[in-house]
Amino acid sequence: MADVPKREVENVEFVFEVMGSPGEGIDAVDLGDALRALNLNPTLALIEKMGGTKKRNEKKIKLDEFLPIYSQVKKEKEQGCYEDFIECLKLYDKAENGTMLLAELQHALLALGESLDDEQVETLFADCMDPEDDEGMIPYSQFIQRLMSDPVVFD
Amino acid sequence: MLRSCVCLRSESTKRRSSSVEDASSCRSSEIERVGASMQTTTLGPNGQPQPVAAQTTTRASSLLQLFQRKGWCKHFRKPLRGMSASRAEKTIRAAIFIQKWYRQHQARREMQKRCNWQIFQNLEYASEQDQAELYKFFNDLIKNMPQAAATGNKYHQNSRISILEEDGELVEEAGDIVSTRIELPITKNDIDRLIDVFRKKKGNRLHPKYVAMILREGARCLKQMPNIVMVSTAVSQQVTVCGDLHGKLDDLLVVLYKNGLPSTSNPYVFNGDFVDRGKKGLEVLLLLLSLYLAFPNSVFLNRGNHEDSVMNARYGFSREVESKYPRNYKQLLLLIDEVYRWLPLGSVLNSRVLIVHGGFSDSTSLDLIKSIDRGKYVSILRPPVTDGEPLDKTEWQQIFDIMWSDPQSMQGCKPNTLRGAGVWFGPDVTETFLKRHRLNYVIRSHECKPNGHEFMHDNKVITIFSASNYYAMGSNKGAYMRLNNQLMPHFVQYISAASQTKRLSFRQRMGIVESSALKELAVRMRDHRDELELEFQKCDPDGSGHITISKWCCVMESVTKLGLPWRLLRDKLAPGTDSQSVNYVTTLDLLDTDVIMEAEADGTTVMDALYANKSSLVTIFNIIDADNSGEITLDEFETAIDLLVAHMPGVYSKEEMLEKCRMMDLNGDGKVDLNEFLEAFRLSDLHRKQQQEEDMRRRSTHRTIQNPSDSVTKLANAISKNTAVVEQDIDPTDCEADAVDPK
Repeated sequence: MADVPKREVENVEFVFEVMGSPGEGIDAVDLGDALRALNLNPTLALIEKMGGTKKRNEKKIKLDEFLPIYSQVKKEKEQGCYEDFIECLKLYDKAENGTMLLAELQHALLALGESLDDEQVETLFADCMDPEDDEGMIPYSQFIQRLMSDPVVFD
Repeated sequence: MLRSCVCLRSESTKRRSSSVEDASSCRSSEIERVGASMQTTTLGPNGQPQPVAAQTTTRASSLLQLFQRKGWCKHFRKPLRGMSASRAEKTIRAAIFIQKWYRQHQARREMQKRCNWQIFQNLEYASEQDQAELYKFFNDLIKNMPQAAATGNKYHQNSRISILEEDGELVEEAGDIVSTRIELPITKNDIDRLIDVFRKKKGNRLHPKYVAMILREGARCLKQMPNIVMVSTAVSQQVTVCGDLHGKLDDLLVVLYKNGLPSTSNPYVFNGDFVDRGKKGLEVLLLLLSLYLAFPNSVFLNRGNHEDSVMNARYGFSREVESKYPRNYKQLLLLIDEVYRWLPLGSVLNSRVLIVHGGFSDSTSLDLIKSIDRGKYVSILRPPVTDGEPLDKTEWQQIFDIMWSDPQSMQGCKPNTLRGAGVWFGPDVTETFLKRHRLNYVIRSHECKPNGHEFMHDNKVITIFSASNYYAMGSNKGAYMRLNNQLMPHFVQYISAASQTKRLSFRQRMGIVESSALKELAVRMRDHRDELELEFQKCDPDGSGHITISKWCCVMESVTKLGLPWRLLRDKLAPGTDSQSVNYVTTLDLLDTDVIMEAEADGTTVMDALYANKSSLVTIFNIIDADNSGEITLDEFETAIDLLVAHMPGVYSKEEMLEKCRMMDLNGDGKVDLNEFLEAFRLSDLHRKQQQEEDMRRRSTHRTIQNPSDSVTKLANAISKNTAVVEQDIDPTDCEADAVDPK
């Protein structure tokens, strides 16, 4: 039984109102976005494990099915904090001066892990990144700060 | 930026599906364990299996094998070659973290966007709902007045006939009037010249006699069209359909620029709502009418729910005409009424596709609609002008349904309580309707959509909305649709004045939309400011200035009657508040800031509109005056007041209204004639305005005593800055348009 506090249930209801259709719930392809909007941060793998689909109109998830998923994902520890990121990116920081090659970061995002596509990387950089300097270097700590400093939608 | 990445291949545009159970728990030991039991193959550049070249250490190779086996990226090998496993692992972790956060960042953005959208839509429909109350009020009035016949505006009937024939008395206007002269018949050359005048920022106006000429000739030609116009692609092989423009001349010019002027081979259908809300409604209307007059078989205009003087009085078009032609607006508004009443109600394309502004209900009958004398309905919100005949409410309902309805995803057909008029129609209603009328699908407008268009009901209902930046700069795209001979739709979506948003980051753009939403919401909240203060104080007996979050949300919803996500809006509308309670004083302070008070002064309430709309008052009088004596008794009037107060709670109670009327009964015979009646309302209006000004004065003195907090001032300044409008000449090439791939 999902023991989700009442206030959070209200938030879930709002997300369902916005993203879903009444009576049917949300489309399982939106499961990830729904969880993210609620301040959770699951990987794609976790989303798939929890029942997310890749195509629209394959499956619907109702509110009462969603709540245990929400509960479960909330328990996942690996949210990642600022220091974790910096530590990882320092690997690329050859000069140890807080900068790294933009192209390396770009490559990592496009090629590694649960990779993003070109458009997503372009949007991400447009939003959070200062333009690279003459040598193609960027200050990565600022980038991470901006990425993580989104105004929280739900409290 | 992306071009510098050497490893970029077009295949990487697809998101790779990760099949690892939980990628974030990658430990080197695990990788090693898993890696040892794997095949030593990899995927080559074309996806075909290839043997692995064992060039790395054992640990690294098992890592590589893991990734290869699980079908991860084809290109990772380069940077990882020669790296230790832990470093490789860390790199992957970093990438995953950033990707996760990016996705969350996007999802939050999306949620913010939707929240703002909800605010705008709620506000828009809530005020439309007020407006529709008028329709219900008239309905009730007619129902409750004994022997009432909707005899309509006898006073105006004669003047309406003559206005089309004679040259009304137009006077010279002060200020910049261009020397451009237009003569009938209107040619393409005239169109080019008109566009050149209209696209300049305010100051340049066409001479009022040409405005009148275009309106008059437009109405005269439209009168000859049937209620439902048959459009055919037999000659042109295609047709373009545009939706709501709402005074956005820049969008209309973008469409004409991208899609060409109308011609025999390039016909257009414009699906209503040409005016209101945008600042160039008059120019849009005049240009559309000119296009219609210049290319009569290639331009089709449908009436929308905003082609209505009662709506215009509320939503800005009447004020626009008044401010542009202060000495002639009354004449011009009468001519505009003529255009409205003769606009066709819809079109049918190749006998297969219906194009109407709103939608339909389960009782809509095109045959019935075709038989109506549409000229009776000068305003759809007022009972029609008739010659002593009883009002046909079924007929009136039919027109309402096609102008005001919206599709819903659920089955069934129910009254549209959001708008207050028309219905919500479900997919089953659509299916029945299409079958009954032997149609393939319906094109409608009436609702703003983020991408300017939307499919519903299994692609049988298409919404097309052509006003970009409708709620705020950057809030949505507009779109137009082209249909080929087989009636397959193709969409082009666009944003006008793109340069104003292009140089802004997403954050800044969101800021603009959000500020606009907050401003509109705050203005609406001002209507209830005193009530809010009262309710807040009730929840706070200690006078601490703080109440719980739930209580704050409760009060906001019950007083404003808006179903908004108040929890989400809390830190915006009560700035500087902490996470445990709400300092409601900041909410009230926000409402008293200059930026909000100035915005309020611009707005009109439904009561303002009613008072300003003399025709409506005359109609009320005529309905009450059942025996056409030219006078009404105070008793009859009392019934009307009951209804008025019930439908539109204004500032005055019934007693106050009656008192005013009694005061107007100068000869004390218990009866009021039309002039006394109008006078009574005018004085009410005057009193109400005085009351408002007094309120404002009282609040500004209150403000100087207690300065608003820093956070309130900061928010007010942000709103002010973000919503400042920079007016420029329109440049249709300054747009961002893209064609949407057909489904």
